[in-house]
Amino acid sequence: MSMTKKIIISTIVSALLISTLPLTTSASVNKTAQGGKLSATKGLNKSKLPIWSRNIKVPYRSWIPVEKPSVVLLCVHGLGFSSESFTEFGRRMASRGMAVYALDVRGFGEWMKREAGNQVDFEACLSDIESALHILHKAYPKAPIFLIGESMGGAIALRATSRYPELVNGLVSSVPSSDRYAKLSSELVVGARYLENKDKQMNIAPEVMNKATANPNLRAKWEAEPTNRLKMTPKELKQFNEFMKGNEDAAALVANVSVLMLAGFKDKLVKPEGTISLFNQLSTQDKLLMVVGDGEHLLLEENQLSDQLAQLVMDWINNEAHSSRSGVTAHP
Amino acid sequence: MNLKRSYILNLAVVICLGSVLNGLPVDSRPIIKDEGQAKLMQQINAGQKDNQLTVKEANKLRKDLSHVARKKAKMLGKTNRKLSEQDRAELISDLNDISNNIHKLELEKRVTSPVR
Repeated sequence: MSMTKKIIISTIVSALLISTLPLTTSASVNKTAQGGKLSATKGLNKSKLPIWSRNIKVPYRSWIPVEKPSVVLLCVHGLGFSSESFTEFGRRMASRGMAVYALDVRGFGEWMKREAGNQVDFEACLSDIESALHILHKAYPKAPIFLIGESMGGAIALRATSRYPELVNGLVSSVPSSDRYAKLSSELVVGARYLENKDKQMNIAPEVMNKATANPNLRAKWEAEPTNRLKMTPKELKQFNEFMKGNEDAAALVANVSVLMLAGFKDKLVKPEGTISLFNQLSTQDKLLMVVGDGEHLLLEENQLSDQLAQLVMDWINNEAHSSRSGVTAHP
Repeated sequence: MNLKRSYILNLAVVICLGSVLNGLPVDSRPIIKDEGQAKLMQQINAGQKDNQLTVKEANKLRKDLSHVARKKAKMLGKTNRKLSEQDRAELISDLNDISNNIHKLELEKRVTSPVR
């Protein structure tokens, strides 16, 4: 039986189990997960961090289980957000024995407080991810490492997988497509602003936050979050648009890594068809696409992870991690 | 309960869709290693890191690699996931061209910026 078939079967089984089993309680999550950040965070006792983790030079957060982790997840956040957006996801996964790390993409999160790195730089971000993957492989030599990303983070994770397939055992890419609603008009606005003054900050909240959810309370919460970035320069947005255009080439280059792609059926920012098209471009045969019926733009970040989706993602990761270790597939 | 039911229904539809999109019965899919592509990608990454390739050059080379990957996927789709000798030779030739381009570009950098 091929791996894809196994995944489909396990996914169906897990979907059925969800309706009968009690869900994870948050109390158990709090006991097993712990958060941490490096030098960028004030008030952190560095001596409590493992020595190897001090080698990670970029701002990050981590949620580490008490027991030795079976799997390591490296998460990349979406446009405007930061590693903090993976807090709930990290806690849940850590409660199931997975070590979770989330990096701040250059220009976002803790990078905003630094002089070097406070501008969007995708090449540097990919280099950060490569370094982190090397460090994590050294720290957890036997654990498979999965890249997780959402929206812009999904595209970055996809790109990193295409560039460093030997370092990645699996990829979960949520809504990585560049196929946005009203894409042309937003690109024209960015283009006009770029000609006017490429370095003058413009508000991205109407384009991103307002379309990412229909819930006004959630929007207000995201906009009030100090680690979120709501203003970017036309120069940075142009770079973002250019980067996202490379998605399809990156997908074609993913040949031997198992991939789970996610899309929200009620997404008003990125078209689900765009993600399906990207899914078709993946060269790997070990791939699975899930369209979440009630899902908006964010499915994993900012407390948007439903119990059902969390269970399905965990099952997929565990299944792939198991086959990766037993040598069933051609993973590195 | 309705939410869970709709979720499971959606999921089942998507799973079926995924299998259809893959285009082939799952058991007939062999695992194909792309060692040539992987090695070239590593060379491009190393060249970019060592400043022997500019970001633009490295991205152009990656784009060329993705064209070969697409060509291969198309060939595999047409031939029930088995490459003919002719297809294999064509792909190897394409990968050789990319390899030559990498070396050519790296060599140009060494010529234009000699070590003193």
